Amino acid sequence: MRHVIIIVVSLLFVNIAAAKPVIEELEKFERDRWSEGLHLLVGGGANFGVYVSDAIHQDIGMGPVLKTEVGYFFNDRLAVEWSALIKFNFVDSWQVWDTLFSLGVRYRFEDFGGLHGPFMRAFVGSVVNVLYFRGDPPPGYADFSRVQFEGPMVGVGFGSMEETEKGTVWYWEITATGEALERSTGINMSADVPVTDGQSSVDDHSQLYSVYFTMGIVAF
Amino acid sequence: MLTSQWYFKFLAGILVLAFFGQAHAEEEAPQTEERYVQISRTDFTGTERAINFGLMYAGQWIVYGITQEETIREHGSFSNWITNMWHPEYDKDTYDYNIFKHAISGQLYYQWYRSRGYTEQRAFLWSFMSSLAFEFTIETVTERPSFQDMYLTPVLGSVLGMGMERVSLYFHSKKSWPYRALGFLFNPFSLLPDSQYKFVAVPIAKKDFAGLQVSWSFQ
Repeated sequence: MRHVIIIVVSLLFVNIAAAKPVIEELEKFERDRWSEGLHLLVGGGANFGVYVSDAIHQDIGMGPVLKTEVGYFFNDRLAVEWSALIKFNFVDSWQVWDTLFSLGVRYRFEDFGGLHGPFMRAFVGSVVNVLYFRGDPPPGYADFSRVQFEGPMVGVGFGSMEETEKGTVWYWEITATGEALERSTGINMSADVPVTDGQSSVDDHSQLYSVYFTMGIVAF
Repeated sequence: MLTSQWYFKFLAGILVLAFFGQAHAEEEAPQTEERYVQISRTDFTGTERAINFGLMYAGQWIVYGITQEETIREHGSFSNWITNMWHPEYDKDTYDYNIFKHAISGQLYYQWYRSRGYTEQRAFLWSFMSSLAFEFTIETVTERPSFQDMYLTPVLGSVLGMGMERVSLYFHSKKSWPYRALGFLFNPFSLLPDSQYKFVAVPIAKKDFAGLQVSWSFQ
């Protein structure tokens, strides 16, 4: 009886609603059994790129990359994704900040070759590639502090998912992208406001090819 | 001078609090199984959703008005506000704006909705809605909606918010005041009196009694 009284009195001071469990129990996402619904994947790694145009063939070296995918998983095998790859490279005195936005599909294969959650991705989208000048600007951009290139991109990826003992799903992925830099805008800063010279077309078939190795987790 | 930069002072402050927190934790090591957690719910009414979104929207207007006062005075107009929303573009901002500052804004959206009790998925979706509302109906006073911001603010913000929330929960669970201060610092919305961050109930079973002991800590 004493216990009952104590509990009843205690309950008067407690927000019962706050102690309710989550009503909508989410099905667990596993490396080889994807659950339906919205998922967010985030990872990081390294990229290696080559710039090619009519006049130049330039290795832009290795740099860091941050990768996110917001996916709607239809079933155990197939998902559509809205993704972003953010990468940095350093070429001589220039710094390249490249952001690739894409829409794509992700498909999970049957296990093979010791891989328990192999998957493939294909995606298309657009790229915003910004070149910062820390020293001499490239020809044609002498009056600017940076130039922003824009254009279309395509990419593919292959990877596999793994699972830790605690149940966290993580992945590794090798990705390749190709981007065409078709438009450019010279930029200067006035206080915090970017001032541009208007957009012009780039007609020297500028393209950037990159390969990435990334590792990450299924955040939810 | 590097030492004069605010983030070095911020980092130094965190280290000092962590040091004192550790000292107090050793003295006041909790004997219970209590843990500080976010308690999600999915039974929101339409009114509750509208209020949560509306409060965030009002906050966005206030913060925008205060932080961008000069830019609004120089570049803002009612005409911009109406016409810009129909012409989204890839903005020309620097990466510290597009990656770091927008991620920090986005994590505040995320943590706000988490503090209301939304699941991670729903907090992300509502952060996305708040971000769209800002891009298309607030910031258009001075600039066109940005495709980069539409993605990066809620996505990077949610990723950052998840990390900050976990760190905050860890510090809150330590139950010593310096650690609790760090918990509030990493997630200011855990300060709100009606936030859905609570100490969990611990189920108990004894020979002569079975029931649920509900633990409660006043903040």
